[in-house]
Amino acid sequence: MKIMEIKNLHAKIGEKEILKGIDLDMFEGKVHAIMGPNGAGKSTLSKTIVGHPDVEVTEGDIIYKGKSIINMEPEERALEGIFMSFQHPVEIPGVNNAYFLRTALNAKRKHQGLKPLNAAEFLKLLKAKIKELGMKEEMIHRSLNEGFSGGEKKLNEILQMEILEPDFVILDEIDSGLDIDALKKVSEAINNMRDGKRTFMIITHYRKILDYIEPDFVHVLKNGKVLKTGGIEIVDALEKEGYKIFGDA
Amino acid sequence: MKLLDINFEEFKEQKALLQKLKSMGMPTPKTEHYRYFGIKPIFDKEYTLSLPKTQRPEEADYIEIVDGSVVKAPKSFYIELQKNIKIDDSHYDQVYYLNHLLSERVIHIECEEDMEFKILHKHTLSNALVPYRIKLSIAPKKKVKVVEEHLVLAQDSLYFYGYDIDIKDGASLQLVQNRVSNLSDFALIAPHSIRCEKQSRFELFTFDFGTAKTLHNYHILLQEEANVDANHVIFASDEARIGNTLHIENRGKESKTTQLSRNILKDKARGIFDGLLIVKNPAKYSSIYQDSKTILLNDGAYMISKPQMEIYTEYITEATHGSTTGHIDEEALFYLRQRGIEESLAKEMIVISFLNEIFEKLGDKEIKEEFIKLYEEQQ
Repeated sequence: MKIMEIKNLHAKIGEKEILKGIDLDMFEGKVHAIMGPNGAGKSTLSKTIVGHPDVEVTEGDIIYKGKSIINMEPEERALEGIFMSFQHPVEIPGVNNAYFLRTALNAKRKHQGLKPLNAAEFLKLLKAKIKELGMKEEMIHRSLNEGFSGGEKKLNEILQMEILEPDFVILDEIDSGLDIDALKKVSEAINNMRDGKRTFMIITHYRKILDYIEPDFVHVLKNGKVLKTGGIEIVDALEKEGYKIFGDA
Repeated sequence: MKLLDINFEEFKEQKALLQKLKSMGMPTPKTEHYRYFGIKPIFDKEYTLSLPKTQRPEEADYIEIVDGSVVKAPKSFYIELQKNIKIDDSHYDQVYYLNHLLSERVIHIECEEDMEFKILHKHTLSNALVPYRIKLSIAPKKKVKVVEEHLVLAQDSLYFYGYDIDIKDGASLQLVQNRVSNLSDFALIAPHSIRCEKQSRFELFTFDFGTAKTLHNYHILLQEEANVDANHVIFASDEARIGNTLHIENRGKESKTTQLSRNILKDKARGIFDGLLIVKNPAKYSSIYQDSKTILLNDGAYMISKPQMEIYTEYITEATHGSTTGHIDEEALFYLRQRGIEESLAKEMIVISFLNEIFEKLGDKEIKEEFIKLYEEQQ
């Protein structure tokens, strides 16, 4: 079943048109890998889906769970289950990690008509998730992403994903800046979240992460358009020949 | 009366003060520390001079000063009205001398034990010029905390008040000045003079919230191994002009100055931070640190930030200063919104986090909660 349909999507940042007619269907419970050379529009596509204010949609639509989301605020999209793991998670000194996460979780619970978790209930949940991910418990008390190493920041994104339990997850270059052990850890956590219902959209330059998280579909983006959709064989072809084999959009 | 029409002949007995004031002249829009405050319309207004009255204070567990008169005080406190106190002869603000000239008697609070108390100032007189001053003496090696609050009910008035503080050898004072005023036609100018003797410590926390016109001018002198930690928060809105100017002089060796200023400005408010840290030649191996940051919540708000240093010794341990002014970090805001947190709450989280360093250093939850309440009321 389709969870997201992207139809003839055109979008610009400032005066520059970056997405030039994207057509892409994504399916419930599947892993979609988005690959493409630098400047292809991969990150702009993810920013457009989550409603980043820098992006202006000029044509086309994004249908998520049967509804158009292009006029929704970023927080409304998040509450509907769209989550993005940022390529460069921002540091916010003074915002306590646990406080931030509880606020985010309780916003979602309120949206779902559930009772908010109190501090003790939330702490119990947070500690369990931290243990599962092999993170240090001290991060509970630290400021959001402040002073975190590259690996810790990415793991913190995964922690947020596990707490918020989204339906549609965008992983924007989750593999960048990770050493092999951290990449394995992050991939394992993502695989544990694959439950047959949750959809993943993995944006990557490299094959490595796809060795750990096997995609159901691979889409190649170039010059703001989807050039090719297929399976893992596309990645093999890219490894040998590079993006030129798919020509230009 | 207008301030500019004061007949100084009436004060000729106070020669030293008069001479000092005459040599400096009355403040004008060109006077450096009043340049951005808008002093002219305040000094041009007609006021009725209202001098504090002497009365026997009622017993209370705090000090209450109404329009310059002490009306309540703890029984155990030693408070007197004192004439001809020793004044700071090198204050940079002429209003310091004008304030002393107009305040014949100074409220003197003597702290000879470790103690903690509150001073509540009530400003109730409209169309009035009200001058008063407080002298605070901290005995050697004593530890004192003073929390000051202001209740402003006066309209079209100008209040002069300020502290002359003497922190003796090895003593410490934490002064928390919590100043909320939401009357836009109320003005307050407060020149303070603080003398920190050998190995003493002065912690200053100022919280200015509101829409009024207030300027605090601090002259702080540090002797050998003395230490000042000055922290300022301004949350100004409407057409407020709220500022802190400071001259902090490290005069003794191994003295230390740390200064943080965090400002949130909204509407057409103007914030002023003008801090000059001076290290004199004898103050070898001293350190000075100054950091001012401002968030402008909209385009009409305006911050004057002037962190400055003058160093007259080659032997300095640390000298750092910096200043930034900008809007809310859009990427941080988006990050929070992407996690489902609505925009207004996300902004509030960022604003509070911006001030958290100072709130946490003070460790007073009430002041933080008061700020959050004021911020939410403004939205």
